[in-house]
Amino acid sequence: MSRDQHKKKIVLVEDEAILIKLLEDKLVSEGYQIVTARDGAEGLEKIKEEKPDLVLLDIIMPKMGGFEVMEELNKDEILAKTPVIIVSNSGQPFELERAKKMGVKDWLIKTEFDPKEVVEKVKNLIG
Amino acid sequence: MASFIRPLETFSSDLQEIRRRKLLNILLLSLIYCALVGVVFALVSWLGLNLPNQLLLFGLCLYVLATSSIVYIINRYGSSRFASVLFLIFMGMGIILSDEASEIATGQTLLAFVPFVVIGSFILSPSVSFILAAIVSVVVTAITLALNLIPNPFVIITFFMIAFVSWLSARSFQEGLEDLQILNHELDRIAKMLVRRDLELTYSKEEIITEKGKIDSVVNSLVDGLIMVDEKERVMLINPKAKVVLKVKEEENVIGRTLSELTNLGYLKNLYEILGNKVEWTGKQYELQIGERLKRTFQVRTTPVVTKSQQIIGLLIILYDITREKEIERMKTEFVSIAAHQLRTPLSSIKWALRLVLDGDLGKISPKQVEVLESGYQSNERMIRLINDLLDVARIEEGHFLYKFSLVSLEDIVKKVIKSLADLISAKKIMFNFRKPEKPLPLVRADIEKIELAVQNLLENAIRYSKDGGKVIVDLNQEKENVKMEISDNGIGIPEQQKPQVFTKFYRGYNAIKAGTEGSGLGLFITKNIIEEHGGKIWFESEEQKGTTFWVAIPINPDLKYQN
Amino acid sequence: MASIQAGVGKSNNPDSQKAGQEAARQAIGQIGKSPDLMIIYSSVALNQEQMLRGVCEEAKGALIVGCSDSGEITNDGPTSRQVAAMAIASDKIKFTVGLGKNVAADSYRAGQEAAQELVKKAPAEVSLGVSFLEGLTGNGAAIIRGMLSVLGEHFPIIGGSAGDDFNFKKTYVYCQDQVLNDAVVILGLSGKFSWGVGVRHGWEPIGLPMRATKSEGAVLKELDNLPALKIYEDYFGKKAEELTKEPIARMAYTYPLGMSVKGSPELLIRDVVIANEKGEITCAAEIPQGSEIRLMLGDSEKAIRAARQAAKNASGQLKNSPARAIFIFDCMARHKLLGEQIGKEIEAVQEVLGSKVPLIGFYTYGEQAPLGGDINRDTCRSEFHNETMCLLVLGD
Repeated sequence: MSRDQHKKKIVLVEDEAILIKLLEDKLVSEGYQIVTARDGAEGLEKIKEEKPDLVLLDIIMPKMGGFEVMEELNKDEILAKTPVIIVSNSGQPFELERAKKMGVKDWLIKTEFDPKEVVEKVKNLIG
Repeated sequence: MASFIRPLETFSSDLQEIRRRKLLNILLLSLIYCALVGVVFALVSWLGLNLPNQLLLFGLCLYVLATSSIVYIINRYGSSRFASVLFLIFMGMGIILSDEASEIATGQTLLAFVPFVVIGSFILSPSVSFILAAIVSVVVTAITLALNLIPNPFVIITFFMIAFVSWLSARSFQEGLEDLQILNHELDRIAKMLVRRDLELTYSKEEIITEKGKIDSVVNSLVDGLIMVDEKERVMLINPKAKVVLKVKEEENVIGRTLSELTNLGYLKNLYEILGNKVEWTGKQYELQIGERLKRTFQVRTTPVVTKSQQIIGLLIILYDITREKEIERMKTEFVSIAAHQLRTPLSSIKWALRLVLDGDLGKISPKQVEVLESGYQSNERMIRLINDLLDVARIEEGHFLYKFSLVSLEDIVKKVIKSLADLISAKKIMFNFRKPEKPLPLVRADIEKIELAVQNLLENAIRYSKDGGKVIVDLNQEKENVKMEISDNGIGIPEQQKPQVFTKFYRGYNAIKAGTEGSGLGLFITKNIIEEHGGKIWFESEEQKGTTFWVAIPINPDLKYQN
Repeated sequence: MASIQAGVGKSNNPDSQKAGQEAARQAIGQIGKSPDLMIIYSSVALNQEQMLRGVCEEAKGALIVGCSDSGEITNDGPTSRQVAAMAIASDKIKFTVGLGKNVAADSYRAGQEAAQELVKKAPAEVSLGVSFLEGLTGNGAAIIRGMLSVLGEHFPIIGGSAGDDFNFKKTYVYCQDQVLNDAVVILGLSGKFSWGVGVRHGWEPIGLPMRATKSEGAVLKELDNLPALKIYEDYFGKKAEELTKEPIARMAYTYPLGMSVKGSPELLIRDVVIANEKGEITCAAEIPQGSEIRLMLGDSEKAIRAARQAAKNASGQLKNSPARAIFIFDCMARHKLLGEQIGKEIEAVQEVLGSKVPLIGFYTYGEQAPLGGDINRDTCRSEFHNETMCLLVLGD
């Protein structure tokens, strides 16, 4: 377990099972510790529990959307500092604006990136 | 009194005729009244005292009564001229019969013949007096001679003198009447003219009213709100729809009042405000939203009312209800937006899955497998592009295609796009030529992502619609206050009859479809929107089978420095 | 407390029955008690039977009279294609109605019939008759003579001939719950009350006078021994064919004929209706042979002034009593002459008699009124008029 201690921890919040699987595999193979959540509410819980180094967050999800998760995180002083990358299929300009104001580090539209590129972005951000 | 005068009433449009009849009537009636008195008198004296001549008086009165009645009847229902002649004959005979022959011969009856001559000139014609004077002279002379007396020449001279005076007065009287007659006819002619004019006027008035009625009913039943104002912004016309829309009470009279005076009524204030607190012909369209809970949207336009003689007599404000259109538009774009998002989700799964397999993350795969999976991956990419285009169109129409302006180098953008298209260029063996600007180009204020998309669309089109081994030239230069880009190819061209639709949504040239080139038909629509949002212009020339040239001109912000 | 209460209502409800109901209800509402009499004028655009049924439902127990029209008049001024109603209640006036039928067959007889029924049913001596005549068939003047033969030579009659919105097809009179064509109704007023009439037209004679040298009833054959139509050929400058092609009325309603009659300061007007190839003109009512005829010219200003004079005449006859109800019988030709100014005529009347006084009237195809507005029982001569503003005012 000690090996896991220095592994960077990422919470992946995504409602599509296949995408979770693909991205999780890719990130694990890159040496990250992954905690997954299937909706916004579960995601928020996990983030609070795990205090991860990075959050990969979808926007349109059941129970609680990505923006609501961000709002909740921003209420907590410590959690608010957790870097967040949005990985979504949505991506209208006004959403980007809103996300930026909430302190989101990056916004990746799923169809425009593949897992490799996502990993690159992650690496750039947290090493 | 009325019953006394009544028998005197005559009727004719000929004044001479009226005069003759009236005169005769007066004479006859007075004679009849006198004769009646005479008869009564004779009867009374017969019973009482014996007067001399009473038989004569009685006979004369009866004679007068009989002859006068005959003449009166003829005068009333027959010819007045005949009645007059008859009257004169009876009168002459009466005078002659009533006097002794000796009295006539000596000229004692002279006095009795005077009214005979005078009346004749008045009731028949002025010159009749001379004829009557002559007749009387002949009769008197004849009687004188018959009695073996010497005729008295003074009597005859007197007759003719009376006749002369009578002629003079009757003539002047008649002339006066004739003048009056002429005047009467003149007046009648004028009356006729007046009536005709009045008739015409009535007709045209009626026509105007019917025309106006037609226009009114058109205006009143129009589904759009209409307000017409004059140059002082006074309301000249407002149709019921406009009143309903603007919540102005039907009975409220707004005609003749200026819009600024009326801002306390309904939504007139809102209307006036969106027009900029003045009514001008700007050619612009405004949007007016009114309503408390259920908002309705109206497109407001102003247009001048011009007469045939090119005179502007007012300005028309048209309120066109676009609430429904707006709602449909909103629903449509929302649908596209959601649909696009929902479509992207499975596509991203496919993309990622294939990518991982292709990258060998899931174990080694054979080159054959790579080839098949790669073509699947590319098809998926095409699908993604199509959906992205759809999303862009939806955003453009929704007004959500936001622009983030910054200073950008068009040259850099073109270079970047060419680089991204390198695979395609080499695959189609295109002879690609980018003619760099002769001198450094100024930076332009633009949304880098959108401009990139526009350039990408244009270059990609030029390449895709060229045959293998075709030629594409990109030329970038400054022209006056614009940066101008020219992209020409020697590809399949745009069919002549389809040219007007090139920039419309989902347009695809039939030759392009036939050639099997892929495309959504949205690229040029998006491109044109982007260029125009930058204040620029896009146009083209093309000939089928020969090639196409597109030009794009984007204005430079004049405050900016030149590129190094 | 006034001895007469009157209320006015109108409705433009497209449902005929509802229109009748609404107008009647509104009128009755204003008097606040059940009416003794309802006067109804209605456009023929409404179904006449349904409309009257609507009125009957609201005005149970009241006497109902009226006719179809070519436009209604109320306190709000002229309207068209509506129903207008006046409700009257009075403890001083007793109302009786007489009905005569078959006007086309024998107008004189129809008038007699109506008057006889009126006299028979009236509880007391009738002091005034209000007539509603068939508007298109028969001879209006003969109807009046028929009535006068029963009611007395100097009996005052005022009223109007029914209209049909200028269609000239069919007109109706109303008597209780009946809608009748080819009929006349006379309403008798008995009791002690003051009243006044005004009869004026304001038309002016123009051109030289002519003599009706040959005429038969309403057909004028010769003027000054020439075909009668020549007067219009001369004045209009049109050929006879043009004048006989369609009803000459269409062209000539603002250019009627006037004949001088004793006892009237104005010429008595006769509308010309139709002309034939023989040059004969059929008028709206008879023109006695031998009458002096003038062409008349209308002028809107004078027409409005005439309305004011008529109102003054009526007001003068009220003998200081306040006006309680105004009845207007106004010729449809005046409507045409005045066009958009039509309201001014009514305004002029209201200025004289008071704008609050309940007012009802209609645009007629002919008016009936004492000549010159003279209601003296020794000299009054009720006549058939055209193109004239006739009004009746009731006082206490």
